[in-house]
Amino acid sequence: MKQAYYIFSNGILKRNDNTLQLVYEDGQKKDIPIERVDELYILGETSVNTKLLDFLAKNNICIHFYNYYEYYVGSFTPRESLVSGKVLICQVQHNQDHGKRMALAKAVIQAASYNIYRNIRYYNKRGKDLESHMARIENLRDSINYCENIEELMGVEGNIRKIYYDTWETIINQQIDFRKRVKHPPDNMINSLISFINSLVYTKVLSEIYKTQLNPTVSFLHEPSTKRFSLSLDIAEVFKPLIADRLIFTLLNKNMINEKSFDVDQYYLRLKPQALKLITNELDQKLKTTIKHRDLGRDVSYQYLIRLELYKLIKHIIGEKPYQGFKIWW
Amino acid sequence: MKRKITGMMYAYFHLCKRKLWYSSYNIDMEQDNENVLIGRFIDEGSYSRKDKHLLVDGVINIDYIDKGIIHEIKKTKKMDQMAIAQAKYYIYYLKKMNIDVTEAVIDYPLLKEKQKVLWSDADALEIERNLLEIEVILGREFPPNDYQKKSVCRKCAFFDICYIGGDL
Repeated sequence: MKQAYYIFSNGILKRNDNTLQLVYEDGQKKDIPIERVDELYILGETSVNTKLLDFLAKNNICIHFYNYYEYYVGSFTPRESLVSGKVLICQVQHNQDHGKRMALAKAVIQAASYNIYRNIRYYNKRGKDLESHMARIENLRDSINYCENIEELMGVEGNIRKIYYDTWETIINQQIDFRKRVKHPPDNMINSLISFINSLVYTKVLSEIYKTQLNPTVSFLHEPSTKRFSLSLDIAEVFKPLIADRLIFTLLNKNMINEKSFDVDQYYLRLKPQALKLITNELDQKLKTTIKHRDLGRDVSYQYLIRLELYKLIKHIIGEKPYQGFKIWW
Repeated sequence: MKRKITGMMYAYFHLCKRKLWYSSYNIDMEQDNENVLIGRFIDEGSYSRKDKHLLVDGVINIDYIDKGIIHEIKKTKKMDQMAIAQAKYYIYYLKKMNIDVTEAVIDYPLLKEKQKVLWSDADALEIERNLLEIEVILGREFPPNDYQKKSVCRKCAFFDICYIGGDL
């Protein structure tokens, strides 16, 4: 089975005949069979050359780079091998037509906010009193349908997220001062975790987009921009509550991550390599979790749910079947 | 402009109209399907001494031709009606180009079997009727809604995109 490989240590990643080889600083070597690689994450200081990139491209493998502060730098994605003019034209049409774009953007927020609601409901059932938050989110969800433009929709989304983050101090058992989401740079443990894990989810979605005919730059909810693959942001929205947020709750509530997991310097909270390994490991375990899919009648992994979401999107934009965002159904 | 109907498209027409539509718009699901990979290995690994993959006219891709007989390589016999139709389409296509072929053989290297396909003039009419129908399907905005719900669906590389979204 193919899997994601995360590289934390410093060294050289290169092509050695028809396999990948990681050469550590002390000269030790590790071979990674190319057939087993789904995608690569570089979290250490790693040298790569064009020969390697060519090899990865031939095998359709994306490679994602992170800097010293675990900040997502960018990706090398192979030349598009799956191109469909039909899909691209339809995708652009859905971005350009206000009504069509709103329909998709609303569907994304509907699904994302429902999944947020489910997370809160889960903890409410387990003795954390979050009834009032649930009610407020339900109210806001009702107003999604009345939004007339993207700004209004983003406003509703922002309000939902604010209520959601208000519940985190209750949900998370560790004492962490988490008042609001701060991004550049994150100012506490929770914000650092959110930033890092969300960026992982974002790149996972990007890798899945590359396995379909969709173009990652043409989005519906987020503004298509030159800097980012904004379709990844759209789809990541739907999956963050299921994959990223639940992972953060688990990591903190099981005390797998705590203050000792961070290098606390003056400006940043940088995760220690040990903690990075733990997080990527747990993330992969989560992505491998399977559930029985109702439409397909077989077990699919959380990661594959992302791909299925993209298939639904294709079916929507070509006019075959309206898109309904993924909602946690179990 | 008339579309070029490839051998694959003609074969898909006999197998599943939805698959035909999806694949003709390059909505292609085959890159990591295990059965597709096995098929590719069989194709690459068998009859390696023959001159294989004859692309005719940029449209049809014949597995190989031996002593004037068209050969098509398949993994299993499960979809042999499709294979027969495909082989006949190749004969038809070559005849249109004034190359007289009247016989085809389907090779099943894994089964160590061969299946003969004989041409009759009635086949040409049938093929022309099918080609018109294919034009109609490809002209559609989105795939036709007649799901096969056959056992073959389960193994189809397009199963996931075909069945996702529910209420079939």
